[in-house]
Amino acid sequence: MFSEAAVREIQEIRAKYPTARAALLPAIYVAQREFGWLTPEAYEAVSDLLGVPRAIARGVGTFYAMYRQKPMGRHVVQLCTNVSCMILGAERLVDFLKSRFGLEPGGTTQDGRFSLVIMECIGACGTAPAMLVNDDFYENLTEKSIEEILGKYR
Amino acid sequence: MTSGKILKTVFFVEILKGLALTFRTLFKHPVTRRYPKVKVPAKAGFRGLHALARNAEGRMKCVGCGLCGAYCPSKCIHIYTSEGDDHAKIVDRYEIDVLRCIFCGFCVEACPFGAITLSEHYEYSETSRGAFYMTREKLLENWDKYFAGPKGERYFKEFWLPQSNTYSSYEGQAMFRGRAKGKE
Amino acid sequence: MITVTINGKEIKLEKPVTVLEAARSAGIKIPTLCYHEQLEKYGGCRLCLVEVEKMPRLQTACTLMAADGMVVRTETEAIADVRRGVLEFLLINHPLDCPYCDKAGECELQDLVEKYGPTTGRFKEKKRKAPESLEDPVLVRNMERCVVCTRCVRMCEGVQGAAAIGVINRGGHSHVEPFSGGRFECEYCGNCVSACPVGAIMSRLHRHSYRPWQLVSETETICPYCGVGCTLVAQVRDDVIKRVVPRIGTPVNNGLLCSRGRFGYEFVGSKERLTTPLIKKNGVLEQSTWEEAIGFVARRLGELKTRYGGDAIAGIASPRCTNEDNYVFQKFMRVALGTNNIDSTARTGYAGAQAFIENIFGQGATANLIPGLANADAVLIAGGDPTAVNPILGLQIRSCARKGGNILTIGHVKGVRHYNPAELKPNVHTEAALLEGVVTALKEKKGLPGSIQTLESKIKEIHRPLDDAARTCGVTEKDLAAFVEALSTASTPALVIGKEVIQSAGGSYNLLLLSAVAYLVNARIHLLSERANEQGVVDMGCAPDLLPGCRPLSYVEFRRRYEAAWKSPIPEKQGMTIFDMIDAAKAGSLRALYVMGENPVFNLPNAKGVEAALRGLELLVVQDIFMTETARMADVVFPALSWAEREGTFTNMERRLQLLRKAVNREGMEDWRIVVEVAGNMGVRMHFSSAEDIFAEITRVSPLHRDLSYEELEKSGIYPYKGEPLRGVTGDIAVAKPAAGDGGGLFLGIERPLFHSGTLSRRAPGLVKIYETAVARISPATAAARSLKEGDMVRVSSVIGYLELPVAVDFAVRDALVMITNNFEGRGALSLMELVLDPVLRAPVADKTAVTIEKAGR
Repeated sequence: MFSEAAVREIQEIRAKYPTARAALLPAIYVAQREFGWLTPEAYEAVSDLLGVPRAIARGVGTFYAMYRQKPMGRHVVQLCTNVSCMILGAERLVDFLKSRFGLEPGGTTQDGRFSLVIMECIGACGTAPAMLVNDDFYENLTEKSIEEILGKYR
Repeated sequence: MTSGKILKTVFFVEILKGLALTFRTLFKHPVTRRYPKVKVPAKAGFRGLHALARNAEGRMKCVGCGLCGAYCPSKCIHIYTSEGDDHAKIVDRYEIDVLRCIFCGFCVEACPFGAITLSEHYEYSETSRGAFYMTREKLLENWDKYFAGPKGERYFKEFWLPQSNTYSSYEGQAMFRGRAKGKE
Repeated sequence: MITVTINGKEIKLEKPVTVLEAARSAGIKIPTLCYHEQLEKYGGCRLCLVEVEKMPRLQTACTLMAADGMVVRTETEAIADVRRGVLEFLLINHPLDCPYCDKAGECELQDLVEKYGPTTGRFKEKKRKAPESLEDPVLVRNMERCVVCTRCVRMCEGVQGAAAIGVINRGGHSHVEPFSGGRFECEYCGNCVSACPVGAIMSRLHRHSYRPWQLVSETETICPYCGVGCTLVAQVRDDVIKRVVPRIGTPVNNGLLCSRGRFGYEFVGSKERLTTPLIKKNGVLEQSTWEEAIGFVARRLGELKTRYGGDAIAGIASPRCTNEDNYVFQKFMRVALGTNNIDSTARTGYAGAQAFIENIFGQGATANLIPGLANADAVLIAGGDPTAVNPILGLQIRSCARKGGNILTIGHVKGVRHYNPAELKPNVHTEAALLEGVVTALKEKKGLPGSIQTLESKIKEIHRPLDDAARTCGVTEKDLAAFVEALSTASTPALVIGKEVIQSAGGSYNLLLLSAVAYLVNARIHLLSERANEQGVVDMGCAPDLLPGCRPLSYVEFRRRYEAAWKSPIPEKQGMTIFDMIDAAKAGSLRALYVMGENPVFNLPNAKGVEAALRGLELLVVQDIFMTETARMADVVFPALSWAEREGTFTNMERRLQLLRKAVNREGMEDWRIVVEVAGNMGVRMHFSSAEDIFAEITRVSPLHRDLSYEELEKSGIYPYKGEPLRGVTGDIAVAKPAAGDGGGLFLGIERPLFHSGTLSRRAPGLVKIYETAVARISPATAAARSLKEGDMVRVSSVIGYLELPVAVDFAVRDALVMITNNFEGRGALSLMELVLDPVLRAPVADKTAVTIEKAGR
């Protein structure tokens, strides 16, 4: 179930859109924040609140790769391995994350601290390799800098 | 009556000619076989009594797709399938009314798994009609009887290999043979 | 006029349509996969690509509107190449398990690949793997086969309105899934099954048991379940109904079915079917022969008639039997036994309510076309969930809502909750007050039309200001005012009346108020009907006061006409209603009861009381297809043929006469034939050799059905037929106002689930798997107050008995109610219900039974 603040937030979102379905994306985002990831209960809560059938809500939610479809660590690392980043050594960084943190692509560390998601271009080709940690953006990564950056996230 | 004719009549020329053939044949090897004491083996691939093939594990190859029955011109193949305990399709009954079969071999061609075959066995006289109604068990028995050992595998490759396994275009398949491409 | 040229053929179009539809109208086939004529256009499969002159690229014919002067080519080498390419892409993931797949033979993808297809694929990687989902009891999903045409999803959302399935994930991983990922938990209409072009969603009922070409015969017949009368096609192999499918273009359901129609056919082949006549000897029912049983019944009926007179014998006809059965049965009662003691369970609501409404508006007031509901601009629903009682009618209401019509409901109607209905939820037993308020407000807003004086004089007496009504019923005045506003501004409103308002205390008063609403806003009335031939059983004269064609028995002229037709006197005395029969049996004045295709011990309130009453009879004859509760008590049981095994007609709730056709063969006799044989043994000859003969007599005798024939019914049989409807017999409108509410406490409610209808459905394994057992449905508040949770066993007790059932907590249930179905043997809601009759409608009052609920086993 949603907290009252979340209910209010979704209702505010709903007011901005002409139809309930149009409000699904931001509402699911709120649900993801509330539930940690998109559990069946999260979809149920969204669909009950917006009056959109559950199967539709789930269909929309699962379409977008940036929603979390399974339990994630406290911090989500989104690392790009597309062309520019790959050329500048993103794959080395993937190996590094694995050896240093035990973090595999699509996986979560044992202590639940990090999850790694491989991205297809986050629009930082000029400053590749790049990654997102939660909502923070980091570029020109090296093995050293990545260790420093991740050290900040507990 | 001409003189030649008279001579021929007097000396029985025609009869002697005929007897000459008889005498010649008398010392030749007879062509007729003394069936059933002497039996001619059927040519390989002869279309005789039906058999249901077994695979390497000894289970029936048939999955009950029913294509043989659908293609059968005399509609003498009856197949009944159902859902088994493990939710897979099982063939409960596979029956051929042999007396109605015209041995065209279309069923063999239609089968995508090479499961229905025609054996070289052609001697199947019985005293009742019922005996010609082949059930699944009888057909499998036929396999064991006539295709025991590697023969079945060899025949499978030689005669019944589903054309779907070898064809490069569908025109070669029995179903499409003689039908121009593009037509319905 | 639009002229397009397709493949060199000039096509003139009356109205703008798509290129695909234009081509189809001219008989030109364009291959499609995602296109379905009942669904919105999608343009996803790219198979209908066509060349259009002056357009740079190939266009999808299904979404391109035909424009004047367009030149289209549908079969060129370039198009074939593209189609081959599309199919090759589909086959990347689609498994080639056709020999194993049940769809093969009627699979659209298979047909297309056969026509255009690549013979070999170039894709060497592995195919997508997904295990077959067998979690659901009646539907099986095989997502390896899914081609994501989304026909099922569009059907589920856009037509059925259930939106239970959706496309999950994206790209190569997208597939169709219900919300739970396993069980569908939906309305189980199965329309996704008929929409699926491949074998991705299929029914489990006939899984692996046939190949489409082995279904040697198909019969178009009428569904045996509810009063909508959907046409369904029974497909048969070796005299077993393998599956039931809808057909596009049929008048009532047009390609749609509900769960009962689609998954409820298996009772026909049930092993529990009765096979031979049974006679009770020394207290045990023993197998007997037809001759013996028929002779025995004829002899005993004859004896009882001579000893006690015909009025000591009564008959119960059946809204499940055909018109022909019921006609012969009532003729048998009236002619052979000389009594008007004939009635049916239509008396429990439908018959009384219809008589009441027709008394006001004239005959045929409730005979309105169901598809017309979709064109209404407002639908008022009172007393039940149409999407559960009459699902296909419910779909029309949903369709109306999608088109922008207002849905107004009295009480919470679960089936339309996604359509933003204007809901008024009055407290229990205050519906009348609410309606009084609505009528008063409408009267002021719209004024009286002045056409029906008797009704207007009643309307003038009604006065309850909105604020008072709102206060009494526990709704807000604002909601109520908005409700009235929506109703008064509608130009083509419809009113849907369910059994719950009829079977309530003061049912006749509720009906008067609803009639007043309908009168004031000029609404069409639809009366929900739970049984397939509920209308027909009334029309055939299976009522103590009516002759065939709904002619009142009390008018001498009518009676004379029937006497002349039947060449036999008809008793003048009005007969007993079904409830009078039970009372008379209890009192001992009724000696024999002949029950045709009905189960009064289960389907009438106070089951124990009915059972005790029937025990006192000297002779109880039952004709049925199963050993029912009533049949078990009978002296003689005749096995009848079921709906699929005979011909006849049903009259649906729109009074549409429809033909039943024989789908499978079975040895035995139709209900009417048994009755004819019994009559013959009693010395009354009825010369019928087929159902058509009987129908011919009906059309001669009944003025309502005059000049109809089976041949004509093949085309249409819509009311008013060629006969004369009866109008203007109106006397006064008798009404019984309800007593003041009892307040407080819990009351019993009858749940009318989508998946069941009683005797038939509980022998249909598919339906039983969907809805397995009776439950006591209570609201979350009721549950919380008694600290009950889902699945707890509770004892629900009333004055006359108790039931032990698991609890189901349901948001849709009102706080003061405990809802129980009346479908499962030994656990029927009616067994708890006291028999109280509405004095006017003679229908039982269902909402006044106080119950208590407590945890069982304490």
